[in-house]
Formats: sequence, structure tokens, C-alpha cells
Amino acid sequence: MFGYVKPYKPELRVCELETYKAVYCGLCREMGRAYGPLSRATLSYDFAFLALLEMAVSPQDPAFCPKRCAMHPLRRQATCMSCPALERSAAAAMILLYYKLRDDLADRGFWKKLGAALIYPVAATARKRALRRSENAPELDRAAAEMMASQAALEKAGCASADMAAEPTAKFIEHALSALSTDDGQRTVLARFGYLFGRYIYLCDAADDMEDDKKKGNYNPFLLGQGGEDALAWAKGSLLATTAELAAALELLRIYRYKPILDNVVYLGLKSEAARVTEKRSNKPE
Amino acid sequence: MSDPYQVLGVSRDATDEQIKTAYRDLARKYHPDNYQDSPLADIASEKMKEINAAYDEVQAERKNAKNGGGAGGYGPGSSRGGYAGYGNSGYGQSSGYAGYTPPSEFADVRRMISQNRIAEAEEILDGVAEGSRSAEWYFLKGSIYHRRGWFDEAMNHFARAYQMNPGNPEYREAYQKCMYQRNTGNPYGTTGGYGTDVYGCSCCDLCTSLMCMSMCCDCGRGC
Repeated sequence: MFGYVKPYKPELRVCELETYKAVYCGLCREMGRAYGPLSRATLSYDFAFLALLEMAVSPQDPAFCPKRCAMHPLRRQATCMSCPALERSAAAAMILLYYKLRDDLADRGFWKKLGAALIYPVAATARKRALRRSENAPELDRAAAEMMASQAALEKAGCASADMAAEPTAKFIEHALSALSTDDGQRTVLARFGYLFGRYIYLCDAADDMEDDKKKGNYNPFLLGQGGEDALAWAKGSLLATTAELAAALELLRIYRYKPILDNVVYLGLKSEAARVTEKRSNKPE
Repeated sequence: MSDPYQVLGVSRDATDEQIKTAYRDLARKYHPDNYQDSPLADIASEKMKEINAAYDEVQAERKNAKNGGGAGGYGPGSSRGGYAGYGNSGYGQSSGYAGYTPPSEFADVRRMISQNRIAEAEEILDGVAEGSRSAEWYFLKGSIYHRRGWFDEAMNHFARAYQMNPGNPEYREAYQKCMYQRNTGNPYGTTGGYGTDVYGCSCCDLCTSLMCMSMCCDCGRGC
């Protein structure tokens, strides 16, 4: 995942920002603890959000403690202590990293391949460790493998529908999130939220890469799709339709804490990222 | 049963006016229209029932208190009039296929969709030959796509249905809702407490603002 899921900071209250940071730091620490210091370099906002979401829908209160780390050597930073949500997020991050690298090794340019080859052994070890450590990891791993396979098939077939191209990622996150509850109603909402969340991430990434893919002749569903000349405007419409339905799903989730933070991310953060990736061109001086 | 004040998100010492406002906000947010083509429609309608029950309970409790705390007397309130009656405050009537059944060539498909039997419904629709697909066919197909989360396809199909039969309020509303979401990124009924609300907008207002929006976009591109 690529860091498109962020809070919109100007509208976040100071205490909410502190909580968000604490979860972010907690995830970083958890990754270091479980998968070695190198893994911390792959930390992303998306997984911090996933951890925060799991904490929000779990009845147990997370624990916080001020900690120092290499990034913050002078000031102790409030940090979320290790908990199932952080463990699950860290494991998911390692599994996805592994599959992302395998993908890069298979079909990227020379430098990308070289970079991927250098980190690959570390990622492979981390994934193995994740499979051993986390109870849900093997199932998640299978889902990730499935996602990569169907994604590759779609790209090979030159799929021109953004809806269809987003489906593998969407199904993967749907799978990951519906594991967070045993209650039927809550699972249905989590599944919908997860599907749309995955769809959003995929489409955001596709919109962000559009210019690059055009130059290099890479696959991109928006370049082949019905947007034509206005592919960016079309992409923005798809993204906004997704955030609208994400918000509708969020309102039906049973949430124990952090609702204002989730609202901020879903109602503002996602939209501001959607605008950023689809309005780049028009912001450039002519 | 859970505390009705908690369900409405107000404290016990809130004024009647505050309670009314809280109820209206919630009713707007969970209105069945907002979850029309969503797999979460049933869950949203459960939520709406819970909110209505909580509001009735609070109203009844307060009425009793005002009448000297007597136990008997008033039954659960009739004051809210349900969210169906909520439409007369200008929010827009529920015209969806949940409430009103127009004469339909696909009655069975509609029934299947409302029972969440999507695969069966789609099979029947896909059996219709390409040349003989009506506006209703496109509308229903769009509705299935929307449930699945395929919003581009949904939008294309709703647009086609609306274009084939512009007079049908069902198709128009589905299409306008899609356009609204694609332009604002917000669901109907709430902006999560940020920015302006659509409350008080009639369908006409919505339509006009969409037209304005699209005109502005064109200008932006031209410049």
C-alpha cells in the first residue's frame, strides 16, 4: 500500500493528532520488535490507519506510554503499546511487502529489479516470521497471493474498466477487515468498508501514476478507460464516489473510540488525497 | 434496551429543541434513500428503527414528567411522525422501489435484489438480449453494480436509464445521487460535521447546483 490514507491535519484536534501519532509510532516500534529494524523503513500511513480502525472497533482500550526512539531521541513520544491491532497490521505490512517485491522482481526495469532483489531476502524472512507469529496471517497470505495473481491476469488482458481493475485489491482488504469482528452485522459493514477502502487505494495509486505510466507505456486502467482526454477528471469522479460510500459505511460501524479521527480521515483526508493526485497537472504553471 | 439518550447522542438534560435537532440529524444521515443501492440497506433501516424508538421513548418520558410524573396517560409519542413523514420538511420524498412499486417488467428481479439474492437477479438480467434492454433494465443493472461497489459502471447504467426515460423519478434520482457523490465525495444526508450540509436542498436545488458545477468545470478547463 502506498500512503494515500492520511488524516487532514488542519482539521484534526491536537489530542487526536497525538493519538494518531502514537498509533503510528506504536506500529513502527511493533515492526522493529517483531521484524527487525530494517522493516521500520517500510512504515506507511495506510497500515497505521488499519491499526487505528481495528482499535476503534475493538472493545479493549489500547495502552499508551511515552517512549524514546531513534527518530525522536530527545523527546519522549506517546506510543501505543503492542496489542493485537498493531500485531495484525505489522504482519499485513510484511506480507504485502513480500508480494510487492516479488511483483517488482518479475516485471520492472533494471534498477527497480536490483533494488527489489536487495531487500527481497529480508522481506521473505519477515513474511515467514509473520506467518508464524500471527494467527490470521496464513489466511491473509493466501488472500494476498490470490490478489497478486488476479491483478497480473487483469493487467495482461489489458482490462479497460477501473471498476474491474480495482477488484483484486478491494477484495483483499475486504477479506482483511471482515476478520475484525464475529458479529454478522458488523462484519457486513466491515466488508463493505474494506472493499471500498481497497478500491480507493488502488484507484488513487492508478490516478497518481497515470502520467508516469503514459510516458513509459505501462498498464493503467484510467488510460484505457472511458475518461479519454479527461481521464484525470473521470478518475476523480470514481474516487469521490468511493469516498462517499465509504462515509456511508463508516456511519454504520459500531465504534468504541476515535470516531472523530476516522471521520477526519474519511470525510476530509481521502478527499484531499483524491484531489492531490487528480489535480497535479492543473496546478503546474503553464 | 440501550439508553435512548445515548442512541440519540444527547445528554439527559438536553432541551427539547436539542433533542429534536439531534433526531433530525440522525434521521437525515440514516435515511433509507442514502442506502438505497447498498448492501448495507437492511442494517441502515435497523439503525433508523432504533433511532425512532429512542426518540419516541424520550418524548413519552418527557411528556409524563411534565404531567406531574404520572405513570399512566400517554403512550409512545406520535410527535415525530416517523421518517416517512420527514419528507414534508423539504428533504425529498422517498421514491425508491422500497416504498412504492411502479408497474415493472422485472418484478422478480426487484424482489431478488431487495432480498439480497444478487447473483440470481443478475443472471435473469444478463439473459435479456442486448437489443431489447429497456430503461428499467439499465436501472436495475446499475443498482446491482452500485451494490457491488462498481460505481463507474453503476453511473453509466443509471445515466443510460435516465436518458432513455427522463420522466421516471426513480431513474432520475439514482442518476442524480451518483452525480452528487462523484462531485462532492459525500454521501447524501451528512458531511460528517464538516462543511455545508445539503439539508433544505430540494431535488431542484440539487439539479441546479449540479448544472452550475458542470458549467464551472467547463470554464476551468477552457481557461
